[in-house]
Amino acid sequence: MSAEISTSQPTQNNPQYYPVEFRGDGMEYTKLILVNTALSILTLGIFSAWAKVRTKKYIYGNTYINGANFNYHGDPIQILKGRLLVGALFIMYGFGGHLSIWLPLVAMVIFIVGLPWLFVRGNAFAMNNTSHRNIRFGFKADVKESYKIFFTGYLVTLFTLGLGAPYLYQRVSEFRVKNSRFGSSFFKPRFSVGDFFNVYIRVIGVYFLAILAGGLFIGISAVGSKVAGSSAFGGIGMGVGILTIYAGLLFAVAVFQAGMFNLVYSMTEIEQIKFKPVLKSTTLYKIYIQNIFFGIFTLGFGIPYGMYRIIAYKAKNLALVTDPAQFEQFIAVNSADSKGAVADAAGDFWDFDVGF
Amino acid sequence: MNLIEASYYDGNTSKPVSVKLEFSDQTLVIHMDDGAKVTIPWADLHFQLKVGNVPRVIDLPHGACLHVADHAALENVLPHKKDFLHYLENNSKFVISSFASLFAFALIMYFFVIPATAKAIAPKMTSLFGESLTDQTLTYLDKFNISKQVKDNTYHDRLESIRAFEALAPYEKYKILIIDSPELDANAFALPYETIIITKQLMDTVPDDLEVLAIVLHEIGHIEHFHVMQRIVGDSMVSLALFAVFGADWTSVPMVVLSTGYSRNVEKEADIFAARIMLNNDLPPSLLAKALHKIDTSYDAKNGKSVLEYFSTHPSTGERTKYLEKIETLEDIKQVPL
Repeated sequence: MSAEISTSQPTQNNPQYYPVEFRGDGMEYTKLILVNTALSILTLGIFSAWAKVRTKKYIYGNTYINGANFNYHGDPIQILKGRLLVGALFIMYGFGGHLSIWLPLVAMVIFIVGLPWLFVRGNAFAMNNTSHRNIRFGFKADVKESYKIFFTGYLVTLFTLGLGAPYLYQRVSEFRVKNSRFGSSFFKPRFSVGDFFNVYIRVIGVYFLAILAGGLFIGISAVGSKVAGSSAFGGIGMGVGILTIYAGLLFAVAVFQAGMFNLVYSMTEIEQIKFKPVLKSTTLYKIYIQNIFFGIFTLGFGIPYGMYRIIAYKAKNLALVTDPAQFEQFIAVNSADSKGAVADAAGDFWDFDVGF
Repeated sequence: MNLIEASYYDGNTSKPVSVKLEFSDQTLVIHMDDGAKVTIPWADLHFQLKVGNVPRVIDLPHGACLHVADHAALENVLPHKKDFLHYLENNSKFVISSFASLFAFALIMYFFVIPATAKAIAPKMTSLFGESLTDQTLTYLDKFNISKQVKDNTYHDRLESIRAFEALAPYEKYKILIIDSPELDANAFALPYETIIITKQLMDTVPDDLEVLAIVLHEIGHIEHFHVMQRIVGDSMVSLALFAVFGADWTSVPMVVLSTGYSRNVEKEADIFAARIMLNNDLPPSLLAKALHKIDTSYDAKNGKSVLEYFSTHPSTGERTKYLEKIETLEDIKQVPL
């Protein structure tokens, strides 16, 4: 849409490096999360939609690029609608089995069949409700194409017994990025299926190493306890082995998160802007581990601070490379496009937030 | 009148303009950087939520907006534009009571609501999945060489004489397996569906058949009360709650720490189940206490006092011996606090 509006070409004689700035404060975020979570529980979850808006407004509002911040505009009622829908499916899936064994199956089928549609609507909601410099982001995708991508991906994943999952993930990510826009400028994804396989191979490698190392501990201590005739040895070895497996699996999560973040951002462009993400899986892992201990030692009070640290780390380790003039050359979608407005309004009714 | 600094975005382009704001009784006058002035009536201004230290956004007609970083100056001229939730978020008393109530809520869920729910749905879950879960566990034990089925007939002959006791007559359909496992040592456990496993090491440690019977009855108690499924359901509910609150980044690890601490009651429940059946068959519940004592003594002799005891899910043997020895009649069972 609005293809007739093309941004003027900025001069690219002076590309500079603009790190994303995060100006939030850990204590302030902690207070925000504690109060909003308490209110959410007090209202049996209803307030959680409003809580989400406040939290997003806080995070977006504290994220700055070249001195300008983001803003979130989600309507809590729409969010509540989305949560009720997903919640109903979830209850059907999790507990419907007590009424009829078909209910969980029906919920799963609705979820699998509905996912491509939900994906489009959910992304539309998230992007349409985000702005930067008073220019809205947007997402407009063909639901038919979404179905094609998801079902081809499902089939490939199924027939390769899961080995083809990176293919599905790449196709979906590409679909998401290429249909996203800032104002009238579209994002351009350049990542390939091979890039996704690279990340997956690393994650699976860590995963197997973790299980191998943990299994080795358990095995050695089992043999050791037989030799020494002491079961305490075996017990400790078992404990260390299980902890090793958990610690390793958490590292696999960090490798996945950092790998995907770096891959998707480094291979995406918009107009003359390139992204430079420098997330390190080891640092992310260190934050995870510290968060766990901090959360436990503060009896849970430190948990929001832990979440804050992950957000801040991700934000601060992304930079934009561009000529500064580019920042001021984005143009909003022409709102006088009446046909588009009608289509948007029709879509609006079904726009809801599905991300928790 | 003091002018307030702000950034103006027209909503058509991403270019900001530095402006100064002048609020009066009825209007806002925006002083643009080129000297032009724009006057907007108050009724046309829309103030977005105030969250933390984020610059306040004021929506103007035709999609334009202002970003105001100076909260103090803004609230000085517009005292009624304070945000109630923002006030709550910055009221330390409210923050602390929020934390206290969340903490209390988590404790109530963890210690009461989740165990009670798990208890309520465990029977249904056992009838749905108990049998397949039991088969899986047995295959697992087999595959990973955690145990060997005992071939030695003397153990099976002993088991036959234990099974012959009247007290076990109602539980004839239960499978009792003897395994050889130095790792598990003197131990017995229940699987969700009518299956009990005892180790050869336990039979060696407890030579008295009646005392082994007491242990078997204790394990039957676990099965009749659906304890295994109760634990599985409880654990899944805890991890589900963690996922709902913290999302995927956080879930797996805290489970190690949180894996259900409510198993102490479960042991007592099984003890009392065993005590009741023993009394009905004119056997003293202290038999179970004696068996526990023997197992405990043999552990200590082999390993010394272990640090692992801190992590033990069973109530201490001392505590159990105490209440088991006190039970002499069915009336006494009521005296044991659950």
